[in-house]
Amino acid sequence: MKNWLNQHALAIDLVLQRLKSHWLNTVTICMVIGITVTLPGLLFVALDNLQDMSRSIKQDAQISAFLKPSVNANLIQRLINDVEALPQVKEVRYVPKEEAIKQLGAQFVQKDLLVDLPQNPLPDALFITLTDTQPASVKPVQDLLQKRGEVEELVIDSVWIERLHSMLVLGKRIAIIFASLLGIAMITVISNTVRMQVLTHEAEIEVSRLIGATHSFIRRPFLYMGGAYGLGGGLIAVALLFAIVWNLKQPVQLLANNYQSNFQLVFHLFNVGGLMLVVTTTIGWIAAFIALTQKR
Amino acid sequence: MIAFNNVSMRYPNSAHLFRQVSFHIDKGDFVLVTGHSGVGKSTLLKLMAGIELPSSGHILINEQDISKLHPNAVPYLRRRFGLVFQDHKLLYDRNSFDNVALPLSIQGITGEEAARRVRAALDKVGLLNKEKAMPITLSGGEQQRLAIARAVVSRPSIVIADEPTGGLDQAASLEIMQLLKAFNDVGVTVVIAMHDVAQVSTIAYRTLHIDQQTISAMPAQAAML
Repeated sequence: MKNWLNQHALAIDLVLQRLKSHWLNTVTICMVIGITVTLPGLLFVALDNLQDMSRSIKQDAQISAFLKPSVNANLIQRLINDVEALPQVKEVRYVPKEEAIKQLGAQFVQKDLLVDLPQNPLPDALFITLTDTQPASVKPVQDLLQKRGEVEELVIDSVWIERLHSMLVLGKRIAIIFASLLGIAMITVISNTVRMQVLTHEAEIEVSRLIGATHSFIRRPFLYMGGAYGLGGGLIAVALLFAIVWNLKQPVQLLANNYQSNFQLVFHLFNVGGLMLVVTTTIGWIAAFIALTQKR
Repeated sequence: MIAFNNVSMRYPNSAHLFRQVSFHIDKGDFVLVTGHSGVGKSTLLKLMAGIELPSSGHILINEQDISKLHPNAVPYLRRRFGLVFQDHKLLYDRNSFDNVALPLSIQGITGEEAARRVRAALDKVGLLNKEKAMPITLSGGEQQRLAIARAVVSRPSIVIADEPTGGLDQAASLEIMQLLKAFNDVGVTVVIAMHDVAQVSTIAYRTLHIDQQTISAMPAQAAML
């Protein structure tokens, strides 16, 4: 066990020495990988932020049910009771047509503008706030209201959010395709670099084989090398993304303020950044493995 | 210790190097493998070390048939040997110390223990004062001594040397042979392929002579002092 750990420590030490001795080459390769990973990373960060935004908007989403003029107070109360009984419903606010016209009138500068109307054209309305506004949760409330004869018109405020959600799903799919293509490019770059390293150290490999080195011993430094390139590239990508987000944070906040939103651009360093490092290191490792497999 | 039983060897698309050869080497022997150039001396050493496998027959190392070894076990077999090559096969991007430390690294021996053993090996071959020197700065004889230090650092029971004096002058050749004999004197089995036995006139040895696809084992020659 101690010897096995020694061999791993030795391989890591050897890789670090090689990376250090060819530092310019190392930095160049890591930069190429870093920039390659930054592009889909940026797309993921944008989608991540949009998703956060859609989640926060959804929490304020409402269903507005406009009632038929013929519906009396008893029926309205029964409807309110039925809606409130649904587990998805957080709050039901009833606005009678008299109050609605008052609220409308209050918005005009000429307060007597609506006085000349022969009758109140506005309907009684229920404004329903949901506890959970995921599409699956909206549906039971929507179904209940649509079945009831008291409701003339139903307005679901979350429809556009559902569209945004669909667009996010599409965006994520595009980002995955984009990232996969760039991942293949990354594998090619690392694989070629590792293959060059194998050729450079051919004498060492030959001697090591002759004096009793196992395949694992010979391959281990190259696998670590691939992983190190991936990790280095990943660190550069995370740093670039962090810098880009930091740079865009203020303008985005200003823009959001103009739309009365408190939206803030964020980069989840530990979640997104950590995941990126794991992915790039794994890709580097796989690329080195492919290079070694081709060599044999 | 090493036994060849009816071993034949031929490379693909070429004639047989040996046909049905049998011999054995005992523990502590000092054996010279002789014969003309291209007769198969190096191949015989490679067969002993498990670097090549025979076309037919059995090679036993300490009663273990190496033809039946799993490929993953072959590297562990090779660790029992100290190999010295005619072209040294030193790593020119590492210093003397690191070259000698390579077999120990392969076995996972590092740190103080490795440093102690490397310095002991360098001391035995007279290169302790050159542990930081790069191989390219050493003379041919010193490079070969460095290769011998690398071969013995892991304390093998058998040292196999392929033309270890090739390209060296007579004084350096004699020095190398005496060094190998010194290891033999402490119980290490030494097998050397060489074409010029005059260099070993002061050493007692056995001979395996290869000629026309056969190997003839000669009795031990006494040292001529």
